[in-house]
Amino acid sequence: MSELALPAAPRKFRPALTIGSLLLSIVVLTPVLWIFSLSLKTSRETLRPGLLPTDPQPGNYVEAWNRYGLGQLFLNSAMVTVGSVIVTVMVSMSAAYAFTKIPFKGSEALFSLLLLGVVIPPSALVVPLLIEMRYLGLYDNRAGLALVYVAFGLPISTLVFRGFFATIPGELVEAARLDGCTELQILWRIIAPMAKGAIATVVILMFLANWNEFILALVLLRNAGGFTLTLGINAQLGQYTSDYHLIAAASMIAALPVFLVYLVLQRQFERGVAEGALKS
Amino acid sequence: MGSITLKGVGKVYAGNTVAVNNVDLEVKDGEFVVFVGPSGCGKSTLLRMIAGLETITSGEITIDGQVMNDVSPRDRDIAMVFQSYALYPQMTVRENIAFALELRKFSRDEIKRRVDEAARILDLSELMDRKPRQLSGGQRQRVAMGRAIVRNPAAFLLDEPLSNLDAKLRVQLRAELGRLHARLGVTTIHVTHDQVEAMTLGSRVAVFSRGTLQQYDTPHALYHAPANIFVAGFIGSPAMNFLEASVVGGGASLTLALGPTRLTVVPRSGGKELSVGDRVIVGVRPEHLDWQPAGGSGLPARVELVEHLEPESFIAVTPADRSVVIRTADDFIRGAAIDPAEEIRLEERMLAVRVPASRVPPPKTEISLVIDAARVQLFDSATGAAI
Repeated sequence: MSELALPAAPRKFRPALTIGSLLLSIVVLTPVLWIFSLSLKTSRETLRPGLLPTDPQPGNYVEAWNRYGLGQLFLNSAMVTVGSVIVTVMVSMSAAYAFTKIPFKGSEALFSLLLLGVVIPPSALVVPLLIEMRYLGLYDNRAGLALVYVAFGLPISTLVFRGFFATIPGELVEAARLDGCTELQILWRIIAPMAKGAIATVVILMFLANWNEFILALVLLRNAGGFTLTLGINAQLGQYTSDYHLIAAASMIAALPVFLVYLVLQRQFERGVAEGALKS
Repeated sequence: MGSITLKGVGKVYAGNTVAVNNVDLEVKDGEFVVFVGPSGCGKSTLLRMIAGLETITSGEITIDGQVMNDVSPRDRDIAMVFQSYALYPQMTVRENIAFALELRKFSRDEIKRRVDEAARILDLSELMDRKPRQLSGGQRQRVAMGRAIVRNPAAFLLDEPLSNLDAKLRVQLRAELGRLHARLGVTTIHVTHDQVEAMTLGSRVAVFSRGTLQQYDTPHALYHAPANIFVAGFIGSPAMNFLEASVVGGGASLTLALGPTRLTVVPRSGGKELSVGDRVIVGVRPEHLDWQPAGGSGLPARVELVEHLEPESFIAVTPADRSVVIRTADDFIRGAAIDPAEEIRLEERMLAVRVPASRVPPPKTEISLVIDAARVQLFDSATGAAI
């Protein structure tokens, strides 16, 4: 694959684009900076106006970690998210491979059916999902929640992989077949190493969605021992009083893995997005 | 080593599009056979059917006597070189060549031995640690060949492996392919649309048109005894000239009328009987035409174009008498993908004449065209089949 870059904007639009990007960054970053500032404030200072803490309290992070049991919440979120992302990537890659490289009857119809999953919001399916998970004995079960994440993640990830795989020449797959590869070997030994950009894109999208997911976790998990970070932090909001500075610190800690995953996969992700953008 | 036999092989796509029509053909063990024909004639489809990359609708494909219709591509013991070379971009040259052997669980020593041997034969030793994107077109082509020969398969299937190269490199690698086949002796089927490749490489050449095998013979036979107008027109450059004629005198030798000009020819023995009044197509190659100054006994014509080449030049002429009708091979494959806009109109058609560069007539002059009657070929005016 050759290096791809998005086409540069015409020179006359550049100042406007720069100002636009700057404004957008401010809009996006303000709440983050606000939460970060809050996380360093004292309890009394939290309700006072002013962005900067007068006496920064880094100890809030240690206190939030210990008081809210973030270790267990982290572990739960990691298990559910990492598990669901791995399974989503493997299954959607296989599906996309079949849709693009193995002609079969009804392929288009099946793909259209799968795409319906992209347009149906998960929250619309909460009630039937709850009944289904109870019936399957997967209610209040982290593996069950991960499975639901996989199901909701498959349509969009298959769509991303299908778009990328469609650009891989069929002759490469045929050469591998003649060389003696099984279809699975073609997928993992030939296609996957070429699809790093698409894999990074799907990993980041799915990691972000599943790590931060709240509604489904709220409905499908009951026991606090199995709570994910979003549920665990939400549980700290009291009816009358809340330690907003500690909740802010916990939120900052919770956001860290997403940030790290993006940082590690940034280059591949940007390439993946660029490739997708150019091919659509 | 392997022989390949096709019996009544056909391929029909959805919508009843016939890609390959009832092909019977045998490739002997160690033979170098070329499938040639214009774009869309079914030659690549047939090759892919032999490889197992396309299902077959009818007939039987056997390799070394074993029916392969339902055998998966990886179990057919054949290696294929694609037009795009299809090298795995993430692997080095060495890994590309070794990949098939690794999959087949060869020992590490055996893989190394075979890969090094292939690299030596193809002069790739210096490039073994490079990725395909760091190679030139010619080098990639050689790696693709290396990937094929390392497996020591029953047959090589080469799908237009030279068509992505520039003209000079194509000539060089064409010769290399020939040498490689002479050295390895592996049964090879080479698909091309380039008749020069077909004629220089193939011990036998199969000419296809519209999914049908038109003729399968040696290059010499294709040129000198084409089975029909399509083959006669496709093989040879410039193409054979075709003129409408009628039989005006019979007997052991026939007298043909080309407008006002008479031509006496001896028909091929065993061919179709012709009688006075029959219409035929006279095929004459550019090198079997010559010219004299106007007023000679030949066909009066006018020089329209001169292509100066050395040591021979080509002249394009139009008969002075407009009752002499020039035909083309395309006239006999109506219904094929001929763009009417590209079709040469009857009054604009010209005859090609090959002459020594030292005696080219000046353009726009009247000449007398001399046809070497002993070398003409006759074709049925209705079917285009050789008579």
